[in-house]
Amino acid sequence: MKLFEFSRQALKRPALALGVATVVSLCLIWFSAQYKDTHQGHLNQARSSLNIIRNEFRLASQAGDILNTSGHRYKQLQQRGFIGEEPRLIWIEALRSSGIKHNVYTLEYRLKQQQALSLESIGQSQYYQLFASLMHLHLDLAHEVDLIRFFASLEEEQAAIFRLSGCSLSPAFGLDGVSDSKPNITADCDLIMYTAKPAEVVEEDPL
Amino acid sequence: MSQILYVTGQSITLYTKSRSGVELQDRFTCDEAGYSSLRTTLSAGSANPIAILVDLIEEEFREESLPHTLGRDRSRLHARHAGKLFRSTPFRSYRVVGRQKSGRRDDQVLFTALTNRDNIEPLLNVLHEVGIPVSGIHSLPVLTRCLLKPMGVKNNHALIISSQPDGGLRETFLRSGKVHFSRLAPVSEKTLEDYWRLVSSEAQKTQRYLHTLRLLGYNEPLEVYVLMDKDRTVAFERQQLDTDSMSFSAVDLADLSQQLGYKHYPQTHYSDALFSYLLGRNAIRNHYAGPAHLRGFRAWQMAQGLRAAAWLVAVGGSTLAGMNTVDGMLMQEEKIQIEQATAQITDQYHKATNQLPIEPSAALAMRDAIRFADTVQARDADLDHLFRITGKAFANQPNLAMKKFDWFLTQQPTAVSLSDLGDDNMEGFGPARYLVSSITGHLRNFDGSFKRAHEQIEALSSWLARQPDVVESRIVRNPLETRADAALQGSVTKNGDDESAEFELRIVLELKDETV
Repeated sequence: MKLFEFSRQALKRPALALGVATVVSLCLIWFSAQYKDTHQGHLNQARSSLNIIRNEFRLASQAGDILNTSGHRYKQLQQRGFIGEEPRLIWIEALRSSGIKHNVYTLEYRLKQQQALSLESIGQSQYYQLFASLMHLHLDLAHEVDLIRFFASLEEEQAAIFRLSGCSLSPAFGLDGVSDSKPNITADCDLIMYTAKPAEVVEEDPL
Repeated sequence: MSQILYVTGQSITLYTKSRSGVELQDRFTCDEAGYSSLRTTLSAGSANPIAILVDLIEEEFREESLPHTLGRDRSRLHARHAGKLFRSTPFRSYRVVGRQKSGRRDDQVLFTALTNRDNIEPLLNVLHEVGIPVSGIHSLPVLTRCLLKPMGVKNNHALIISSQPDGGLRETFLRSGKVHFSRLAPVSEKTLEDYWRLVSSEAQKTQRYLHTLRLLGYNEPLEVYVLMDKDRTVAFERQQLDTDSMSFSAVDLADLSQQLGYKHYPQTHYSDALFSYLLGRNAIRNHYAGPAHLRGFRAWQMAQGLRAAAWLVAVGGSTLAGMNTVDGMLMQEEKIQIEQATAQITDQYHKATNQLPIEPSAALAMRDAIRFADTVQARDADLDHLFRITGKAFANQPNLAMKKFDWFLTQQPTAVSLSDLGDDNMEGFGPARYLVSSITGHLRNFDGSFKRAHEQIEALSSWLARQPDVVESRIVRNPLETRADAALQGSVTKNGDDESAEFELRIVLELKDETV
C-alpha cells in the first residue's frame, strides 16, 4: 500500500451507515405516510358525513320554520292557482265576473302561450319553475274609474297572481260628447299572469 | 480534539488543542527511539487528523519575479518554477507576495521549501503506520503574519524574533504584512547578557542579509519585535539595543497569548506553544503537504461527510416519520370526536324530521314558490295615485283637456314605450321600478296665444313634478315648437284653433315596495 493511499475501507462503514440510514428513513417515512393517509381518508369521510347530516339537520330545522311561518301563504297561493297548471278557465271566468260587476261594455281578451321565465331579478329555484302568460285586454268603459274598479275586482276574485303591465286609455266619444248610456273610454291593457310549477314536472320542448 | 505536531530538527512535540489554548502532551526525539515512542502514543490516542507545524533550520526562502499570470496558468507556472528551484524535495510551496511597480509588472513570488526531506518523511511514515491522516504540513514562519494585528505592528518593515525550543532563534521578516524571509539561528546563550548580545547581533546579520537580498533598502528603518517572557521583558527595558536603522521592542508572550485567546500561557520564553495555538485556532491552508500526503485526510473528510449525511438522513427521516405518525394519531382522535358529533346530530335530525308533516325539501320548495309570488307581486302600479294626481292636475287647469292617456311599468326610468314581452325582453316579466305615463292633451279654448297656452301647460307639468313619487314630469311636445334647431312656420289669427294647440306630457313615478 502506498503512503496515505486512499482508503476505501475507511469509507466502507460510513457509506454503509448512510445507506442503512437512508433505507430505514425511507421505510419509516413511507409507513408513517401510509398511516397518515389512511387516517386522513377516515377523517375526510367522517367530516363529509358530518357535513351531510349537519346540512340535513339544518334543512329540517328550516323546514319546520317555513311550515310555521309560510304554510298559510302557500295555501293561499295554491288557492289562487299560482302553484301548478294554469287555471285559464278560472281566469276567464274571473274576467267575466269583474266585467259584469263594473259595467264594462266590451271585454275582449287575448292570452298568449305560457313561457318559462329565467330572471336575474327573481333568481332560480331547484324546486320550482316560474311561468308567465301575457294577456291583452280590450275594454270599453263608461268612465276611467271603472278601469280601476275592474282590476280591483279582479284582484278580489283571487283567481290569479297577475300584474298589470301597462294601459292605453283614449276617449270613445265623438262630437256629441259624453253619455252615460254608451262607452266613453277605450282601454287596451297588458296583464302578466304568473304560475309556478314543480321543477321536475316541467316538460322540455322536444324541438 | 485536534492534535498538532510541532517539529524541529531535534524533537517532535505533540500538542492537543483545547478551547482556550494548547496542551503539551509529550515531546519525542527525532531518532528511532523517539519515533517508536511517538508511534505508541499516537496508537493509544484518537485517529483524528493531525497537523504538522515545522520549525526547521532547513526551510529555504527564495523570492523570484515571474510574469504576471492568472488562474490555472499561474498555479502551473509557479509549481513548475518551485520544482526547478527545489528539485530534491517534494515539500515546497509558493505564494505571491507582491507585484513590481514598473516594467512588465511581474509578480513577486515567494518560494519556500523544506530542503531536507529526512526531517519529515520518517514522521509521515509513523503517522501512516498508525493510520492517522495528515491535515497539512504548515510553515511556522508563514504563521508569523497572524501575530501582526494583535501586536499592533504598523511599521512597513518588521522583524519578529522568537525563541524556539532546541536552541533556535527564529527571525522572520515581514513587509507590508507579508512574510518575505525567515531564518533560524542556533542559540547557545548561557546568561541573559549573552542572550541580548545574540539577539542584537543576529538582528544586525539579518538586516545586512535583507539589504543584500534587496528586500530592505539601506535607508529604510527596521522595527524589531522580540517575543519573550515577563522577566526578560522587564530586563529588556534596561538594555540599549537600538541603532540608527533598527529599533527594538519587547513583546510579552503571556500578554500576546492572552490577546489571542490563549488564557494560561506556560512560564517560558519559547514561542512554540503560541504558534501551535495559532495553527489550531485559525484555518491555515496547507503549505508543504502534497496531494499524496493528504489522501488520508481527504478520505477522513469524506468519511466524516458520509457520517454527517447519515445522521442528517436518520434525524430528518425520523422527524418526518414522527410528524406523520403524530398527524395520523391526531386525525384518528379528531375522527372519533367527529363521529360522536355526527351521531348526536343524527339523533337530533331524526327527532326533527319525525315532527315534520312533510319532507324538508317540500318545505324548501314552498319557500321558493312564495318567494316567486312575493317578487312578482312587489311594486304593483298604484293606479289610484296616478289617476288622482293627473285628475287633480287637469282640474287645476280647466282650459286643458286630456285626449289620450298611456302608461306602463318598466325597470328603466328612461323607457319610452312598453317593449313586446317575450324571449327578447324576458326581464320585462320581472318586477318593475317605475311607472311611466304619457298624456296627450289639448286646450279647450285656444285664443291664439301660444304664450298663454305654454304657460298653462308648464303650470300643469310643474304641479305634477311636485307630487309624491314623481321623479320626472316633462313636456314632450308643446302646441308651438319653439326650439332653435327646428323650423317654425304658421299664421297669427285672432281666434285660435282647438286642434292646433296639442301638447304631450311625460310623467315618471317611482314604485314603492308593497308588503304582500
